[in-house]
Amino acid sequence: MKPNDHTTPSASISHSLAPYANTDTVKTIDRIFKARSIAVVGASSDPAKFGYMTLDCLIRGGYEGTVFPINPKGGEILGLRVYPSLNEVPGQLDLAMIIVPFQFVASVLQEAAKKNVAGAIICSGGFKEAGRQDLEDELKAIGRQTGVRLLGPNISGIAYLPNKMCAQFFPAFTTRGPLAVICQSGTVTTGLCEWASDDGLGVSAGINLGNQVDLCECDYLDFFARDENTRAIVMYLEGVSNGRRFLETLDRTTPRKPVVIIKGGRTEAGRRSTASHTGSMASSHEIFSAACRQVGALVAPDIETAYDHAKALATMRPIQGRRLLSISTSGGANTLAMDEIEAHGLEVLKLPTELVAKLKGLGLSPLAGFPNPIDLVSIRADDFRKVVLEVDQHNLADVILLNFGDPVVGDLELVKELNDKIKASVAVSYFAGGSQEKIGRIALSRAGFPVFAAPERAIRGIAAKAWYSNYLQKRGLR
Amino acid sequence: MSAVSNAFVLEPEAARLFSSYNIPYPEHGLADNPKQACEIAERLGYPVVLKVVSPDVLHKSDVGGVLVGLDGPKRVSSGYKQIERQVRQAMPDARIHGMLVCRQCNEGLEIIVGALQDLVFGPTVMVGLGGIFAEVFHDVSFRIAPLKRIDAEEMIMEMKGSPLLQEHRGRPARDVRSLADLLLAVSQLVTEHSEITELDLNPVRLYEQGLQVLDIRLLRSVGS
Repeated sequence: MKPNDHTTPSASISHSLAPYANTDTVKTIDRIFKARSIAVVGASSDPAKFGYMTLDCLIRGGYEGTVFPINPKGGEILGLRVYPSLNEVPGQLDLAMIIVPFQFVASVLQEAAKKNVAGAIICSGGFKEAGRQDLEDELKAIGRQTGVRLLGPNISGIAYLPNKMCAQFFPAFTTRGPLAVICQSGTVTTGLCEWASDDGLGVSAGINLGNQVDLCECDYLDFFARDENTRAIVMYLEGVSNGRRFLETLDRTTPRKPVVIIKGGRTEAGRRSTASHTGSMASSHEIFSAACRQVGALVAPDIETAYDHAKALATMRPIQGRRLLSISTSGGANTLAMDEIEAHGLEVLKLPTELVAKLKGLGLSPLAGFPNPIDLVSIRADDFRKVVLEVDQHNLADVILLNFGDPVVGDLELVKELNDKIKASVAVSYFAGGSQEKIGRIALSRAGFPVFAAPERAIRGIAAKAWYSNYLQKRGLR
Repeated sequence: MSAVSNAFVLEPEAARLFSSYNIPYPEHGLADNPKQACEIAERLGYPVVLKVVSPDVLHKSDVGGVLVGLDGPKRVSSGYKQIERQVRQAMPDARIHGMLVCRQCNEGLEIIVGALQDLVFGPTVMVGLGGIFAEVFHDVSFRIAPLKRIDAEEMIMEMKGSPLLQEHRGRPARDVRSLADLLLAVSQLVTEHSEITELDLNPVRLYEQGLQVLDIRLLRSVGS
């Protein structure tokens, strides 16, 4: 699929276009995502075609609504009755997926409008991204006239897991979780959703933006800001069509839900005059990054960091300050963590000597190392328990990293108990834990705890949460 | 197709614009001959700085268009003629309107403040530590206008060199609040004047109390 060029800057910078969310749009997106019936126009019995894969994906995803494959030939595909046209679909139709060659999309859309669908997912390519702005304008006009909201065109589809709806070519995601993924690239959407699934974290939604002829990233942000199934939003963007609207939308979203953004394409968008010092120093990426942070969204330098940030933001409790204590089974895991701490604006908590003496009296290994990080030189969950419960009473740590550098039996129960009992925010790094780690990490993720595959990744995630908590605090938003 | 080009706004006009936003700029006068320059210098008090005013000279220092430390009428008079000579030599076709005579400012911590119209986000404000910090180390931070005070404060602290604003090595702490005020004023200026495409305040001298903008480079778009 040809990528859409979103690096063209908007022709004019206007002031407030949308200071408030459009509640009608949000309600319609809700209807679309929670659709109880979908027509797949361009359905195919050929497993190599998208028109087949989509049906398969819906089924594998566990969709419980009604699916109407549409193909003039009729018949049956994957046990579903195929209707020759949209007109013949009985009863209510909430959503239409359009997977036909571009020249037929407009007429299919008109038919879908007659069925009063809330929205149309236009998978077909060959519009703006192929230089056919005219065809895209045509779709926009039909949407305006009929009231049907348009997703795409030029997308692989969307997934909304609370409705078990994977209305996309592939793959079917079934691991439900707190993360909403919104990307300009289908591949990146899928990639992030797959990481979240494999990890046990799970997603609430995977939205491929496509050409954004109608519904755009701002509309989805307004939806997910209010979606109770979502706790954090991660976005991959190559550009924004309306910068001011984007910032206003982020500004009202971030107080409700954390947002992490990966910006793709760091080439200059448009010419920049070099008459001034200022002009010559301003790179569009730097300004993009500053603009997002100004309104509370994090900008990640790469996709793995973005994922770790999003995970921490979705699963960690708010962090009140920057003081971190790391407790590990092994020295190496702690060294890796400590190397990252100051670089990310966190503070290595200094434990007072009396407290250290007290901890030493808790029956830990005589080889245990203090003051921070604490190397337990033990893999006993109970040793972690004792130290954490003691330290937390003194209100010194804002965040405690449970740095598992070995398998820890009873990992899930330990983390559950500590998370319930202590005031500090907890994060887990699970690294070199063998077969116990594989089970433990997924179990912890499924239970909603922040667990990372390496100490540095944990620190980066914690830093993201701390930054976000600080942003809210400083602006009196929490 | 509209032809929008950028015109360079001459410093005296830029200074007038700034005063309506309470942006501190040294007392000055415009002279179109050496005698008038001396009269102005007399009024302002020595030492003074002379700067060429020409729509064709964007980078005054590069063409010998600035002289500092002129501490008497003879110096001012010969300085005037020297600048004329130097500028004419470097740019024979430059239109010289005259010289800006400015009260010379005390030494201070040099800061660069700027603004531009970003193609995606609109009016954008920049701050950096002057000289090599901004030019070589690229230690600058940006925010999109209109700025809130917290934005101004955070963008200042974001500069890696921001510890230089605090007390160190026997040098006093600088008036960070006045720098934040300046950023807020610039933010308001470029928000209300969308025709301003680029703006450099370089250098700004930051003192223990207050600051002074020493030089203004302002570009404005001229309609189609």
